[in-house]
Order: sequence, then structure tokens, then C-alpha cells
Amino acid sequence: MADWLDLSWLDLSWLDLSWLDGTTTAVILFFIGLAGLVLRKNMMISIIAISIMNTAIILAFVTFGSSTAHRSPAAATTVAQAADPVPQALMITSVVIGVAIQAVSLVLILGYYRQHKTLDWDEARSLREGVSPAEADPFRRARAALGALFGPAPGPRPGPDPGPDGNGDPRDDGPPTGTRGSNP
Amino acid sequence: MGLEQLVFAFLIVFALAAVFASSLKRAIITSGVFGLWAAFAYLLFHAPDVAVSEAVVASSLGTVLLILTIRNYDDLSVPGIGQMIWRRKGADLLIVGACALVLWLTARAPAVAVAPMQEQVMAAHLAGRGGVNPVTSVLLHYRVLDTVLEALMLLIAVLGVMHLTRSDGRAASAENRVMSERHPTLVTALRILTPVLVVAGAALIVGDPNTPGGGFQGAGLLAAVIVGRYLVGAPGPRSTRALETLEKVIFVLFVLSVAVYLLVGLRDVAPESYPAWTIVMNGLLGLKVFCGLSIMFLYFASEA
Repeated sequence: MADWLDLSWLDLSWLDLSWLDGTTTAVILFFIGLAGLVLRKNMMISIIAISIMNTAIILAFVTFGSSTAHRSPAAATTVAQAADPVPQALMITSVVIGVAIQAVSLVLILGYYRQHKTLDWDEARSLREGVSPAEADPFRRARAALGALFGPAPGPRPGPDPGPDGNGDPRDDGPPTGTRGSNP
Repeated sequence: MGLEQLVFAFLIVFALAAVFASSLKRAIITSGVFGLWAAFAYLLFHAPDVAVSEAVVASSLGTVLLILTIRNYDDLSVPGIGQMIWRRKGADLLIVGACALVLWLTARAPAVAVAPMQEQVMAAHLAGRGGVNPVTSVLLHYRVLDTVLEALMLLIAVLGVMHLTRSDGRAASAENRVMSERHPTLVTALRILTPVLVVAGAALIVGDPNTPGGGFQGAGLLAAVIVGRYLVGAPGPRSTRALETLEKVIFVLFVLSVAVYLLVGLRDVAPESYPAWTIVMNGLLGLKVFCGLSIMFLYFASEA
């Protein structure tokens, strides 16, 4: 490094990321993809989340049998020194298959969007079942089911006036259902 | 803190940015960059074949497919993160808890030992028995049936895309013609580069025992040439009929070559012809995957 660029004052020893190895990163990435799949309503974000999960699994397999101290299998001189070629070969096919799946999913999504003009999972379910989008939200349904299972018997009870989402909290309502065109 | 920790940290950051993006354009580009960081991570872990496949096929072709999906529509924005987390407060805590549990289990798991197959493959390669890259020997000898089934799966995916699209992969759209008129330098540059990239792709398909290479990687590079030419509006194939027929013929030839290889037991019976036969199988596989990816892309591009 050049003499004028003296970074000796920069002490990064507190930043110990040695726990972040390949398998840990793969698990974290997998759950990030899963969170995207579960928490987001847009179909294309679901595709991106699935491809992130695919990459996480590939990273896990590639880093299982290797480390930065190994050598590439084609260039290694001993068996112990070589990164494991078996998962590498299988993961190459996995990458190509992931892209093929992505292409087919995108074609399906494109066709669906052209027909129904929405990319929203909740609106798709509401179109399919004929209910309002707020009622088609699976989390709301799960909460209602849990509430029916464990809650008190239904009856008239005083409380704040529930908004469209039924929770009584205006922040929880989301965009009004009349804006389907701008919020696919 | 080594370089790989930095790359992993960036991977996590870009994955979060892609999944929780506030607009689709941002999500798509971020996921493309995430793929490139993943390719760099594979390279750091000495998996150059996987790195090439990831960079050329998943990051480039996959991102282009995503971009083509939304190019004709206004920027489709998605609900922002604040609203989303508020609505699904139970689910995201559950996912974080599950992630913590799996991380804890992973930390307690014993280290992966050297497997017998790794020893066998590397020992055969080091003894000079292959004439090929160990990764290619796994793909075309030890797990050759997996490779045949993967080629079949790609063929089925291509058929799926062909069946689900309305058009038949015809010529570039009007927007691309405008681009080729306005930027002749780009078109000419790509025209000059095309034979260079074709030669590079062919070299990558054939490979040699001590460098990375193989059918999938070279095919990805050749398909990227088709994608690049389409994106700048350089004249491409008028229709995909020839590619479709070629793909089916090459697939049948590839399966026949694998069948001959397995029935004869070529590597044990005639070891001196094994490298040449592997080059033939690799070439057929590469050509088939190139045709498949190109057809899939061209159909998709004319549909989107």
C-alpha cells in the first residue's frame, strides 16, 4: 500500500467475523429467502427468494468439502489438498436447473399478470375464492383460526371501531383495496 | 477477518436488500449482484466451474430473464418493508427463531470428513487415468446418469416455456431495432466479439485436465452470446426452428453416446480413447445445453 495511505490507526480487531463460515452463511441466506417467500406479497419477489434459497444450498455444498486453504481439484497435487469435486459437479447442474425453473415460473407469472393484472398473492387468492383481499390474507386467516381455537366465545364486546383489517389499528390496514392497479 | 468473511457478509447484505427491496427493479438488480458475489465466494472456495456457471447462467441469464419480464410494464412497486413487518409480526419472529435453531444445530454438527468418492475421483485424476478435469470426470463418468437426467430436465423446461408462450421465438422487438440504430458501435463491437466468445465457449466446453471447463460452463457462455446479441439488437436467428431440431437431435445423440460409453465400459476397456470420447460427450452436452438455454431465452424474450 502507498506510504501516504497509512491505515494503521484503523483498529478492526473488535470485528471478529470468524464464526461466519460457509455453512452458517448458507443457513442465514436460506432463511432470508424463506422470509422473502413467506412475508412478501409480490410473486416476482417470491421467484427471487427461491433463487436465493437455491444459491444458499449450493454455497453450503460447495463449502462443505473445501476451504480457502484447499486447492482447485484440477490443480491439486494431493488428495487431501483438493477441494471436493463431487459436490462441485452436482452443483453445476443445480445452477442450470435453478435458472430453468426460474424461466418457467416467470413465464407462468407473465401469463397470469396479463390475464388478471395483479402480481399480489392475496389478490390472486381473493380473485380465486371471491373474497375481499383483506380476508384472503393467510396470516389473518391463521390468526382468526387460532383465535377461534383458543379465544373466548364470540359475543358483543366494547372496543375501538375496527378498520377494514379488523384489528382496530389504522397502520395495519395497508393500502386501500381500490388501488389494485398501482399495487400489483 | 479473511476475505471470505467479507464476501459472506456482503452476500447476506445483498440477499436482505434483494428480498426486502422497495421496488422490483431494485430487487432484480440486487439479486443479480448477489449472484456475482456468490460466484466470487465459489471462486474463493476453489470451485471455478461452479463460479463460471453461477456468473454466466444464474446471475446474468437469470437477471436478464427477470428484467425482460417487467420491461413492458411500469415499475411495479411492492409494499414497503415497514408495512410488511408490521402485518406479519408473528411470522418474521418465527423465521428468526427457526434460523437461530438451525444455526445452533449446525454449529453442533460434526465436521464433514473426506468421502470415499472424493478419494476415488482425485486418486484417479492424480494417477493420470483421466484425461479430463476431475469435475468433468464426475459429471461424465461417476454420475453420468445424473447428467443425462439433468439434460432431460432442461429439455422439459424448454418445452414448458415453448408451450406456455404465445409466440414462436421470432425476431427482435422494435425497441431493440431502435437501440441498434442509435448505438452502432455497440452492435459492431458485439459482432466482432461474437466469434471470439464462440471460440472461448468452445474451448471452455472441451477443456483440459488441469483447467476448469465443461459442457455446462461453455454452454452458458455461448448462450450469453445469444443474450448479448438480442439485447443490443444485433440480427439474430429468424426463428428458433433450427435450434429446436438441433437440440432434440443432439440430446438423442448424447444419450446414445452415454449408453455406448456405459455398455462398453469405455474407461476400463479402452482407456486411451477415454479422453477423446469424453470430449465428444462434453461437446454434445454443451451444444445441447446451449440450444436449450438459447431457445428458452428467445421464446421468453419474444413473449415478454
